[in-house]
Amino acid sequence: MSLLDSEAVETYERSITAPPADNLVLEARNLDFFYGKKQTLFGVDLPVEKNKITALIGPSGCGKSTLLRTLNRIYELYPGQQATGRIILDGQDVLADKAGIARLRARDGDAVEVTPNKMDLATLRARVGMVFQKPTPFPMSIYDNIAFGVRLYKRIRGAEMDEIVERALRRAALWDEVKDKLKESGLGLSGGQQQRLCVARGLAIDPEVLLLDEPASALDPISTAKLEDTLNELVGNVTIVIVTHNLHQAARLAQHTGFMFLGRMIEFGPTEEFFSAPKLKRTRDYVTGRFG
Amino acid sequence: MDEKTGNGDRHTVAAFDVEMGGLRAAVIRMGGLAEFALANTLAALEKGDNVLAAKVVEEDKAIDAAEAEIDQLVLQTLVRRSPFADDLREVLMAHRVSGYLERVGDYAKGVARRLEQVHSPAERQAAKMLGELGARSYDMLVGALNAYAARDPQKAKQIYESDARIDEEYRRVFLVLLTQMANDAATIPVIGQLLLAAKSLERVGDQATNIAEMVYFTYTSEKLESRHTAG
Repeated sequence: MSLLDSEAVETYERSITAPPADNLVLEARNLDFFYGKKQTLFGVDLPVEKNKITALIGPSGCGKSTLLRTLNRIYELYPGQQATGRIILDGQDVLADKAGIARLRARDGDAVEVTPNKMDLATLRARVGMVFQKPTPFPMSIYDNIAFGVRLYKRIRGAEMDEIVERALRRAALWDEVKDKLKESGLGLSGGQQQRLCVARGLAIDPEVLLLDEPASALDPISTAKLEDTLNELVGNVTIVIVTHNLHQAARLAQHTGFMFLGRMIEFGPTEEFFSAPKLKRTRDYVTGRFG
Repeated sequence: MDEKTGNGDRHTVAAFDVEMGGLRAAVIRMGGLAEFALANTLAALEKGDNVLAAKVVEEDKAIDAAEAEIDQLVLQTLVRRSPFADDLREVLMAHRVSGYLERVGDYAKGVARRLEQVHSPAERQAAKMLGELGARSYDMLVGALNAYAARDPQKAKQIYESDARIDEEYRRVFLVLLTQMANDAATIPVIGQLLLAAKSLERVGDQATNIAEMVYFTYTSEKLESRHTAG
Protein backbone atom coordinates (compact mmCIF):
# COMPACT_ATOMS: atom_id res chain seq x y z
CA MET A 1 0.00 0.00 0.00
CA SER A 2 1.79 3.09 -1.22
CA LEU A 3 -0.84 5.13 0.57
CA LEU A 4 0.60 3.94 3.86
CA ASP A 5 4.30 4.16 3.05
CA SER A 6 4.28 7.92 3.05
CA GLU A 7 2.09 8.31 6.10
CA ALA A 8 3.61 9.70 9.27
CA VAL A 9 3.71 7.49 12.35
CA GLU A 10 0.93 8.59 14.63
CA THR A 11 1.81 9.37 18.21
CA TYR A 12 -0.56 9.79 21.15
CA GLU A 13 -0.31 9.68 24.91
CA ARG A 14 0.06 6.09 25.92
CA SER A 15 1.68 3.97 28.59
CA ILE A 16 2.79 0.45 27.75
CA THR A 17 4.37 -1.61 30.51
CA ALA A 18 5.30 -4.81 28.71
CA PRO A 19 6.28 -8.09 30.36
CA PRO A 20 9.94 -9.11 29.82
CA ALA A 21 10.59 -9.71 26.10
CA ASP A 22 11.70 -13.30 26.73
CA ASN A 23 8.25 -14.13 28.16
CA LEU A 24 6.26 -12.93 25.17
CA VAL A 25 4.60 -15.48 22.92
CA LEU A 26 2.58 -13.11 20.78
CA GLU A 27 3.20 -9.49 20.06
CA ALA A 28 1.47 -6.84 18.00
CA ARG A 29 3.54 -3.76 17.24
CA ASN A 30 2.48 -0.53 15.62
CA LEU A 31 -0.54 -2.29 14.15
CA ASP A 32 -2.97 -0.41 11.89
CA PHE A 33 -6.22 -1.82 10.58
CA PHE A 34 -8.45 -0.66 7.75
CA TYR A 35 -12.02 -1.44 6.79
CA GLY A 36 -11.69 -0.19 3.24
CA LYS A 37 -10.41 3.35 3.61
CA LYS A 38 -11.63 3.70 7.15
CA GLN A 39 -8.83 3.16 9.65
CA THR A 40 -9.94 1.49 12.90
CA LEU A 41 -6.62 0.60 14.59
CA PHE A 42 -3.83 3.15 14.99
CA GLY A 43 -0.32 2.02 15.88
CA VAL A 44 -1.51 -0.54 18.41
CA ASP A 45 1.03 -2.35 20.60
CA LEU A 46 0.00 -5.54 22.41
CA PRO A 47 2.60 -7.64 24.21
CA VAL A 48 1.14 -11.01 25.22
CA GLU A 49 2.89 -12.99 27.93
CA LYS A 50 3.18 -16.74 27.51
CA ASN A 51 0.76 -18.90 29.50
CA LYS A 52 -0.88 -15.91 31.15
CA ILE A 53 -4.24 -14.19 30.69
CA THR A 54 -4.24 -10.81 28.97
CA ALA A 55 -7.48 -8.81 29.05
CA LEU A 56 -8.53 -6.07 26.63
CA ILE A 57 -11.06 -3.52 27.82
CA GLY A 58 -12.54 -0.36 26.37
CA PRO A 59 -15.84 1.16 25.26
CA SER A 60 -17.81 -0.31 22.36
CA GLY A 61 -16.18 0.38 19.03
CA CYS A 62 -12.73 0.98 20.51
CA GLY A 63 -11.17 -1.71 18.33
CA LYS A 64 -10.59 -4.47 20.85
CA SER A 65 -12.53 -7.09 18.85
CA THR A 66 -10.85 -5.90 15.67
CA LEU A 67 -7.47 -6.38 17.32
CA LEU A 68 -8.45 -9.91 18.32
CA ARG A 69 -9.65 -10.67 14.75
CA THR A 70 -6.35 -9.41 13.43
CA LEU A 71 -4.24 -11.66 15.65
CA ASN A 72 -5.35 -14.81 13.82
CA ARG A 73 -6.21 -13.07 10.56
CA ILE A 74 -9.93 -13.84 10.70
CA TYR A 75 -10.41 -10.61 8.74
CA GLU A 76 -8.66 -11.98 5.64
CA LEU A 77 -11.89 -13.50 4.37
CA TYR A 78 -13.34 -10.05 3.91
CA PRO A 79 -12.31 -8.00 0.89
CA GLY A 80 -11.11 -4.49 1.67
CA GLN A 81 -10.01 -5.32 5.19
CA GLN A 82 -6.32 -4.97 5.78
CA ALA A 83 -3.88 -5.03 8.68
CA THR A 84 -0.48 -3.39 8.44
CA GLY A 85 2.29 -3.34 10.97
CA ARG A 86 3.65 -6.29 12.82
CA ILE A 87 2.33 -9.37 14.57
CA ILE A 88 4.88 -11.87 15.80
CA LEU A 89 4.00 -15.32 17.08
CA ASP A 90 6.91 -17.10 18.75
CA GLY A 91 9.42 -15.23 16.61
CA GLN A 92 7.53 -15.82 13.36
CA ASP A 93 5.93 -13.03 11.41
CA VAL A 94 2.16 -13.37 11.09
CA LEU A 95 1.72 -10.49 8.64
CA ALA A 96 5.17 -10.05 7.03
CA ASP A 97 4.13 -6.59 5.94
CA LYS A 98 7.14 -4.76 4.52
CA ALA A 99 5.61 -1.31 4.62
CA GLY A 100 4.48 -1.93 8.20
CA ILE A 101 7.97 -2.98 9.22
CA ALA A 102 9.39 0.15 7.61
CA ARG A 103 6.98 2.28 9.66
CA LEU A 104 7.87 0.34 12.78
CA ARG A 105 11.54 1.08 12.16
CA ALA A 106 10.70 4.74 11.80
CA ARG A 107 9.10 4.57 15.22
CA ASP A 108 11.19 2.07 17.18
CA GLY A 109 14.58 2.23 15.45
CA ASP A 110 16.76 0.03 13.25
CA ALA A 111 16.90 -2.85 15.71
CA VAL A 112 13.55 -4.04 14.33
CA GLU A 113 14.29 -7.21 12.38
CA VAL A 114 12.81 -8.09 9.01
CA THR A 115 11.45 -11.62 8.63
CA PRO A 116 9.87 -11.78 5.20
CA ASN A 117 7.96 -15.05 5.42
CA LYS A 118 4.28 -14.75 6.14
CA MET A 119 2.84 -17.50 8.30
CA ASP A 120 0.54 -19.99 6.60
CA LEU A 121 -3.09 -19.35 7.59
CA ALA A 122 -3.95 -22.93 8.57
CA THR A 123 -0.86 -23.11 10.77
CA LEU A 124 -1.74 -19.78 12.32
CA ARG A 125 -5.33 -20.85 13.10
CA ALA A 126 -4.11 -24.08 14.69
CA ARG A 127 -1.71 -22.15 16.87
CA VAL A 128 -4.08 -19.30 17.68
CA GLY A 129 -7.63 -20.49 18.46
CA MET A 130 -10.68 -18.33 18.97
CA VAL A 131 -13.90 -18.46 21.00
CA PHE A 132 -16.65 -16.00 20.15
CA GLN A 133 -19.17 -13.96 22.09
CA LYS A 134 -22.10 -16.16 21.18
CA PRO A 135 -21.50 -19.88 21.72
CA THR A 136 -21.05 -21.46 18.29
CA PRO A 137 -21.26 -25.24 18.70
CA PHE A 138 -21.51 -27.12 15.39
CA PRO A 139 -24.85 -28.91 14.79
CA MET A 140 -23.36 -32.29 15.66
CA SER A 141 -22.71 -34.40 18.74
CA ILE A 142 -20.72 -33.13 21.69
CA TYR A 143 -18.00 -35.64 20.82
CA ASP A 144 -17.85 -34.63 17.16
CA ASN A 145 -17.79 -30.95 18.01
CA ILE A 146 -14.32 -31.58 19.38
CA ALA A 147 -13.18 -34.41 17.10
CA PHE A 148 -14.11 -32.45 13.96
CA GLY A 149 -11.48 -29.78 14.45
CA VAL A 150 -8.84 -32.27 15.53
CA ARG A 151 -9.31 -34.34 12.36
CA LEU A 152 -8.58 -31.27 10.26
CA TYR A 153 -5.08 -31.12 11.66
CA LYS A 154 -4.13 -34.65 12.62
CA ARG A 155 -4.74 -38.23 11.57
CA ILE A 156 -6.07 -39.79 14.73
CA ARG A 157 -7.44 -43.29 15.37
CA GLY A 158 -10.53 -44.09 17.48
CA ALA A 159 -9.18 -44.72 20.97
CA GLU A 160 -6.69 -41.94 20.71
CA MET A 161 -9.44 -39.55 19.63
CA ASP A 162 -11.50 -40.60 22.68
CA GLU A 163 -8.58 -39.55 24.84
CA ILE A 164 -8.19 -36.19 23.11
CA VAL A 165 -11.92 -35.47 23.44
CA GLU A 166 -11.94 -36.39 27.13
CA ARG A 167 -8.83 -34.38 27.85
CA ALA A 168 -10.22 -31.29 26.10
CA LEU A 169 -13.55 -31.59 27.93
CA ARG A 170 -11.75 -32.02 31.24
CA ARG A 171 -9.56 -28.98 30.62
CA ALA A 172 -12.69 -26.96 29.85
CA ALA A 173 -14.27 -28.30 33.08
CA LEU A 174 -17.16 -29.79 31.16
CA TRP A 175 -16.36 -33.52 31.30
CA ASP A 176 -18.37 -34.39 34.43
CA GLU A 177 -21.45 -32.73 33.00
CA VAL A 178 -21.39 -34.36 29.58
CA LYS A 179 -19.50 -37.66 29.90
CA ASP A 180 -22.74 -39.67 29.80
CA LYS A 181 -24.16 -37.92 26.75
CA LEU A 182 -21.27 -37.48 24.35
CA LYS A 183 -23.41 -38.65 21.41
CA GLU A 184 -26.10 -36.05 22.06
CA SER A 185 -26.18 -32.80 20.11
CA GLY A 186 -24.00 -29.96 21.33
CA LEU A 187 -26.97 -27.67 20.69
CA GLY A 188 -28.86 -29.34 23.56
CA LEU A 189 -26.44 -27.96 26.16
CA SER A 190 -27.11 -24.82 28.21
CA GLY A 191 -25.53 -21.55 27.04
CA GLY A 192 -22.76 -21.82 29.60
CA GLN A 193 -22.04 -25.43 28.71
CA GLN A 194 -22.04 -24.56 25.00
CA GLN A 195 -19.46 -21.86 25.63
CA ARG A 196 -17.25 -24.27 27.57
CA LEU A 197 -17.71 -26.77 24.72
CA CYS A 198 -16.34 -24.11 22.38
CA VAL A 199 -13.41 -23.60 24.73
CA ALA A 200 -12.86 -27.38 24.73
CA ARG A 201 -13.02 -27.38 20.94
CA GLY A 202 -10.42 -24.65 20.84
CA LEU A 203 -8.18 -26.46 23.31
CA ALA A 204 -8.41 -29.84 21.55
CA ILE A 205 -5.98 -28.77 18.84
CA ASP A 206 -3.46 -27.62 21.48
CA PRO A 207 -3.20 -23.98 20.45
CA GLU A 208 -0.49 -21.81 21.94
CA VAL A 209 -2.89 -18.91 22.21
CA LEU A 210 -6.63 -18.87 22.76
CA LEU A 211 -8.50 -15.69 21.85
CA LEU A 212 -11.82 -15.09 23.60
CA ASP A 213 -14.17 -12.36 22.44
CA GLU A 214 -16.63 -11.48 25.22
CA PRO A 215 -17.06 -15.18 26.06
CA ALA A 216 -19.27 -14.57 29.11
CA SER A 217 -21.48 -11.75 27.92
CA ALA A 218 -24.40 -14.09 27.18
CA LEU A 219 -23.96 -16.20 30.32
CA ASP A 220 -25.62 -16.03 33.74
CA PRO A 221 -23.42 -15.44 36.83
CA ILE A 222 -23.01 -19.13 37.68
CA SER A 223 -22.05 -20.10 34.13
CA THR A 224 -19.72 -17.10 34.06
CA ALA A 225 -18.07 -18.25 37.29
CA LYS A 226 -17.58 -21.73 35.84
CA LEU A 227 -16.08 -20.33 32.66
CA GLU A 228 -13.74 -18.09 34.65
CA ASP A 229 -12.77 -21.04 36.78
CA THR A 230 -11.94 -22.93 33.61
CA LEU A 231 -9.79 -20.09 32.32
CA ASN A 232 -7.97 -19.80 35.65
CA GLU A 233 -7.18 -23.51 35.50
CA LEU A 234 -5.64 -23.01 32.07
CA VAL A 235 -3.16 -20.35 33.26
CA GLY A 236 0.30 -21.86 33.11
CA ASN A 237 -0.57 -24.08 30.13
CA VAL A 238 -2.23 -21.88 27.55
CA THR A 239 -1.90 -18.22 26.67
CA ILE A 240 -5.25 -16.45 26.72
CA VAL A 241 -6.27 -13.07 25.33
CA ILE A 242 -9.77 -12.09 26.41
CA VAL A 243 -11.89 -9.15 25.33
CA THR A 244 -14.42 -8.17 27.96
CA HIS A 245 -16.81 -5.35 28.83
CA ASN A 246 -16.81 -6.53 32.42
CA LEU A 247 -14.03 -4.66 34.19
CA HIS A 248 -14.24 -6.88 37.23
CA GLN A 249 -13.87 -9.93 35.05
CA ALA A 250 -10.64 -8.45 33.69
CA ALA A 251 -9.51 -7.60 37.22
CA ARG A 252 -10.32 -11.11 38.46
CA LEU A 253 -8.85 -13.09 35.59
CA ALA A 254 -6.03 -11.31 33.87
CA GLN A 255 -2.39 -10.87 34.74
CA HIS A 256 -2.10 -8.04 32.21
CA THR A 257 -4.75 -5.61 31.02
CA GLY A 258 -4.88 -3.24 28.07
CA PHE A 259 -7.25 -0.31 27.69
CA MET A 260 -8.21 0.65 24.15
CA PHE A 261 -9.91 3.79 23.01
CA LEU A 262 -10.71 5.05 19.51
CA GLY A 263 -8.56 2.34 17.96
CA ARG A 264 -5.51 3.09 20.13
CA MET A 265 -3.90 1.04 22.87
CA ILE A 266 -3.89 3.72 25.52
CA GLU A 267 -2.54 1.86 28.51
CA PHE A 268 -1.20 -1.62 29.02
CA GLY A 269 0.25 -3.04 32.23
CA PRO A 270 0.02 -5.51 35.11
CA THR A 271 -3.65 -5.85 36.08
CA GLU A 272 -3.18 -5.08 39.74
CA GLU A 273 -1.57 -1.71 39.07
CA PHE A 274 -3.87 -1.07 36.14
CA PHE A 275 -6.99 -1.11 38.34
CA SER A 276 -5.53 0.32 41.54
CA ALA A 277 -3.37 3.09 40.12
CA PRO A 278 -3.72 3.55 36.35
CA LYS A 279 -1.01 5.73 34.85
CA LEU A 280 -3.15 7.79 32.50
CA LYS A 281 -6.20 9.90 33.18
CA ARG A 282 -8.15 8.37 30.28
CA THR A 283 -7.73 4.91 31.74
CA ARG A 284 -8.62 6.10 35.19
CA ASP A 285 -11.75 7.86 33.90
CA TYR A 286 -12.83 4.67 32.18
CA VAL A 287 -12.22 2.23 35.04
CA THR A 288 -13.78 4.51 37.65
CA GLY A 289 -16.89 5.14 35.56
CA ARG A 290 -16.27 8.78 34.67
CA PHE A 291 -16.54 8.28 30.94
CA GLY A 292 -18.92 10.28 28.79
CA MET B 1 -1.19 15.57 39.58
CA ASP B 2 -4.50 17.30 40.00
CA GLU B 3 -6.01 15.79 36.92
CA LYS B 4 -5.30 12.35 38.37
CA THR B 5 -6.82 13.06 41.77
CA GLY B 6 -10.25 13.47 40.28
CA ASN B 7 -11.00 16.77 41.95
CA GLY B 8 -14.11 18.18 40.46
CA ASP B 9 -14.91 15.55 37.82
CA ARG B 10 -17.98 13.41 38.08
CA HIS B 11 -18.97 9.79 37.78
CA THR B 12 -21.42 8.80 35.07
CA VAL B 13 -23.56 7.41 37.90
CA ALA B 14 -24.36 10.53 39.96
CA ALA B 15 -25.32 8.55 43.07
CA PHE B 16 -21.71 7.38 43.31
CA ASP B 17 -20.56 10.98 43.75
CA VAL B 18 -23.18 11.54 46.44
CA GLU B 19 -22.00 8.46 48.34
CA MET B 20 -18.33 9.40 48.08
CA GLY B 21 -19.18 12.90 49.30
CA GLY B 22 -21.09 11.40 52.23
CA LEU B 23 -18.14 9.19 53.13
CA ARG B 24 -15.69 12.11 53.03
CA ALA B 25 -18.02 14.24 55.15
CA ALA B 26 -18.32 11.45 57.72
CA VAL B 27 -14.53 11.15 58.01
CA ILE B 28 -14.16 14.93 58.35
CA ARG B 29 -16.84 14.96 61.09
CA MET B 30 -15.08 12.15 62.92
CA GLY B 31 -11.79 14.03 62.60
CA GLY B 32 -13.48 17.02 64.20
CA LEU B 33 -14.62 14.88 67.15
CA ALA B 34 -11.15 13.40 67.69
CA GLU B 35 -9.51 16.81 67.41
CA PHE B 36 -12.01 18.23 69.91
CA ALA B 37 -11.34 15.39 72.37
CA LEU B 38 -7.60 15.98 72.20
CA ALA B 39 -8.06 19.75 72.59
CA ASN B 40 -10.18 19.23 75.70
CA THR B 41 -7.65 16.80 77.15
CA LEU B 42 -4.88 19.32 76.64
CA ALA B 43 -6.99 22.09 78.17
CA ALA B 44 -7.72 19.86 81.17
CA LEU B 45 -3.99 19.23 81.46
CA GLU B 46 -3.16 22.91 81.32
CA LYS B 47 -5.84 24.02 83.78
CA GLY B 48 -5.89 20.97 86.03
CA ASP B 49 -9.59 20.69 85.19
CA ASN B 50 -10.70 17.20 86.20
CA VAL B 51 -14.33 17.87 85.26
CA LEU B 52 -13.28 18.56 81.69
CA ALA B 53 -11.12 15.42 81.74
CA ALA B 54 -14.15 13.36 82.80
CA LYS B 55 -16.13 14.88 79.92
CA VAL B 56 -13.52 13.68 77.41
CA VAL B 57 -13.81 10.14 78.77
CA GLU B 58 -17.60 10.28 78.45
CA GLU B 59 -17.61 11.70 74.93
CA ASP B 60 -15.32 9.06 73.46
CA LYS B 61 -18.47 7.01 72.74
CA ALA B 62 -19.39 9.48 70.00
CA ILE B 63 -16.04 8.82 68.28
CA ASP B 64 -16.61 5.08 68.42
CA ALA B 65 -20.08 5.59 66.94
CA ALA B 66 -18.60 7.69 64.13
CA GLU B 67 -16.17 4.90 63.30
CA ALA B 68 -19.03 2.40 63.15
CA GLU B 69 -20.91 4.73 60.79
CA ILE B 70 -17.89 5.01 58.49
CA ASP B 71 -17.41 1.22 58.53
CA GLN B 72 -20.98 0.93 57.32
CA LEU B 73 -20.55 3.54 54.58
CA VAL B 74 -17.32 1.91 53.39
CA LEU B 75 -18.98 -1.49 53.22
CA GLN B 76 -21.95 -0.06 51.30
CA THR B 77 -19.71 1.70 48.79
CA LEU B 78 -17.63 -1.41 48.19
CA VAL B 79 -20.73 -3.54 47.69
CA ARG B 80 -22.62 -1.08 45.50
CA ARG B 81 -19.84 0.43 43.42
CA SER B 82 -16.89 -1.98 43.48
CA PRO B 83 -14.66 1.04 43.02
CA PHE B 84 -11.42 1.03 41.02
CA ALA B 85 -8.29 3.22 40.91
CA ASP B 86 -8.41 6.46 42.93
CA ASP B 87 -11.99 5.72 44.01
CA LEU B 88 -10.78 2.46 45.50
CA ARG B 89 -7.84 4.12 47.21
CA GLU B 90 -10.14 6.81 48.58
CA VAL B 91 -12.56 4.29 50.09
CA LEU B 92 -9.71 2.28 51.60
CA MET B 93 -8.28 5.50 53.00
CA ALA B 94 -11.58 6.41 54.66
CA HIS B 95 -11.58 3.02 56.34
CA ARG B 96 -7.99 3.29 57.55
CA VAL B 97 -8.26 6.94 58.62
CA SER B 98 -11.37 6.25 60.69
CA GLY B 99 -9.40 3.52 62.49
CA TYR B 100 -6.56 5.95 63.19
CA LEU B 101 -9.00 8.56 64.48
CA GLU B 102 -10.64 6.03 66.74
CA ARG B 103 -7.22 5.45 68.30
CA VAL B 104 -6.65 9.18 68.68
CA GLY B 105 -9.92 9.24 70.61
CA ASP B 106 -8.72 6.37 72.78
CA TYR B 107 -5.42 8.09 73.49
CA ALA B 108 -7.18 11.34 74.40
CA LYS B 109 -9.48 9.38 76.70
CA GLY B 110 -6.53 7.51 78.23
CA VAL B 111 -4.64 10.70 78.96
CA ALA B 112 -7.80 12.26 80.43
CA ARG B 113 -8.26 9.25 82.75
CA ARG B 114 -4.71 9.56 83.99
CA LEU B 115 -5.24 13.28 84.63
CA GLU B 116 -8.10 12.43 86.98
CA GLN B 117 -5.43 11.08 89.34
CA VAL B 118 -3.47 14.33 89.37
CA HIS B 119 -4.39 16.42 92.42
CA SER B 120 -1.65 18.26 94.32
CA PRO B 121 -0.11 21.50 92.98
CA ALA B 122 3.23 19.69 92.54
CA GLU B 123 1.55 16.93 90.52
CA ARG B 124 -0.21 19.54 88.38
CA GLN B 125 3.09 21.23 87.76
CA ALA B 126 4.55 17.91 86.62
CA ALA B 127 1.53 17.30 84.35
CA LYS B 128 2.07 20.67 82.66
CA MET B 129 5.39 19.37 81.41
CA LEU B 130 3.36 17.40 78.85
CA GLY B 131 1.92 20.62 77.44
CA GLU B 132 4.45 21.15 74.67
CA LEU B 133 4.32 17.50 73.59
CA GLY B 134 0.52 17.69 73.54
CA ALA B 135 0.58 20.90 71.50
CA ARG B 136 2.91 19.41 68.90
CA SER B 137 0.77 16.28 68.58
CA TYR B 138 -2.34 18.40 68.27
CA ASP B 139 -0.80 20.56 65.54
CA MET B 140 0.19 17.46 63.66
CA LEU B 141 -3.27 15.92 63.91
CA VAL B 142 -4.91 19.13 62.71
CA GLY B 143 -2.39 19.36 59.86
CA ALA B 144 -3.10 15.77 58.77
CA LEU B 145 -6.87 16.34 58.89
CA ASN B 146 -6.50 19.53 56.87
CA ALA B 147 -4.46 17.65 54.27
CA TYR B 148 -7.24 15.06 54.14
CA ALA B 149 -9.98 17.68 53.74
CA ALA B 150 -7.98 19.54 51.09
CA ARG B 151 -6.91 16.28 49.35
CA ASP B 152 -3.44 17.72 49.32
CA PRO B 153 -0.62 15.18 49.13
CA GLN B 154 2.12 17.82 49.45
CA LYS B 155 0.64 19.12 52.69
CA ALA B 156 0.39 15.52 53.85
CA LYS B 157 4.05 14.97 53.09
CA GLN B 158 5.04 18.02 55.16
CA ILE B 159 3.04 16.70 58.11
CA TYR B 160 4.60 13.30 57.72
CA GLU B 161 8.06 14.80 57.85
CA SER B 162 7.32 16.87 60.97
CA ASP B 163 6.92 13.76 63.12
CA ALA B 164 10.53 14.03 64.28
CA ARG B 165 9.62 17.13 66.31
CA ILE B 166 7.30 15.01 68.42
CA ASP B 167 9.78 12.22 68.96
CA GLU B 168 12.33 14.75 70.11
CA GLU B 169 9.95 16.36 72.59
CA TYR B 170 8.81 12.99 73.84
CA ARG B 171 12.39 11.99 74.65
CA ARG B 172 12.92 15.28 76.49
CA VAL B 173 9.75 14.93 78.60
CA PHE B 174 10.52 11.30 79.31
CA LEU B 175 13.98 12.18 80.61
CA VAL B 176 12.73 15.05 82.77
CA LEU B 177 9.96 13.01 84.35
CA LEU B 178 12.22 10.04 84.89
CA THR B 179 14.87 12.06 86.69
CA GLN B 180 12.13 13.72 88.74
CA MET B 181 10.87 10.32 89.80
CA ALA B 182 14.36 9.11 90.62
CA ASN B 183 14.96 12.07 92.90
CA ASP B 184 11.58 12.12 94.58
CA ALA B 185 10.10 8.71 95.33
CA ALA B 186 6.80 10.25 96.48
CA THR B 187 6.04 11.29 92.91
CA ILE B 188 6.45 7.78 91.48
CA PRO B 189 2.72 6.83 91.32
CA VAL B 190 1.61 10.00 89.56
CA ILE B 191 4.66 10.42 87.32
CA GLY B 192 4.32 6.80 86.31
CA GLN B 193 0.86 7.75 85.04
CA LEU B 194 2.24 10.85 83.34
CA LEU B 195 4.90 8.82 81.54
CA LEU B 196 2.16 6.63 80.09
CA ALA B 197 0.19 9.77 79.18
CA ALA B 198 3.26 11.13 77.40
CA LYS B 199 3.52 7.90 75.44
CA SER B 200 -0.15 8.27 74.40
CA LEU B 201 0.45 11.82 73.17
CA GLU B 202 3.44 10.65 71.19
CA ARG B 203 1.20 7.96 69.71
CA VAL B 204 -1.29 10.60 68.59
CA GLY B 205 1.55 11.95 66.48
CA ASP B 206 2.00 8.49 64.97
CA GLN B 207 -1.68 8.37 64.02
CA ALA B 208 -1.37 11.77 62.39
CA THR B 209 1.63 10.43 60.46
CA ASN B 210 -0.42 7.42 59.38
CA ILE B 211 -3.25 9.67 58.17
CA ALA B 212 -0.77 11.83 56.25
CA GLU B 213 0.73 8.70 54.66
CA MET B 214 -2.71 7.52 53.54
CA VAL B 215 -3.59 10.94 52.08
CA TYR B 216 -0.32 10.98 50.15
CA PHE B 217 -0.86 7.46 48.84
CA THR B 218 -4.48 8.09 47.87
CA TYR B 219 -3.72 11.10 45.72
CA THR B 220 -0.35 10.06 44.27
CA SER B 221 -0.62 6.24 44.37
CA GLU B 222 2.91 6.32 45.75
CA LYS B 223 3.98 5.37 49.24
CA LEU B 224 5.96 7.54 51.59
CA GLU B 225 8.71 5.51 53.17
CA SER B 226 7.23 4.13 56.37
CA ARG B 227 9.02 5.07 59.54
CA HIS B 228 6.66 3.52 62.04
CA THR B 229 6.29 -0.14 62.69
CA ALA B 230 3.62 0.16 65.36
CA GLY B 231 0.40 2.11 65.08
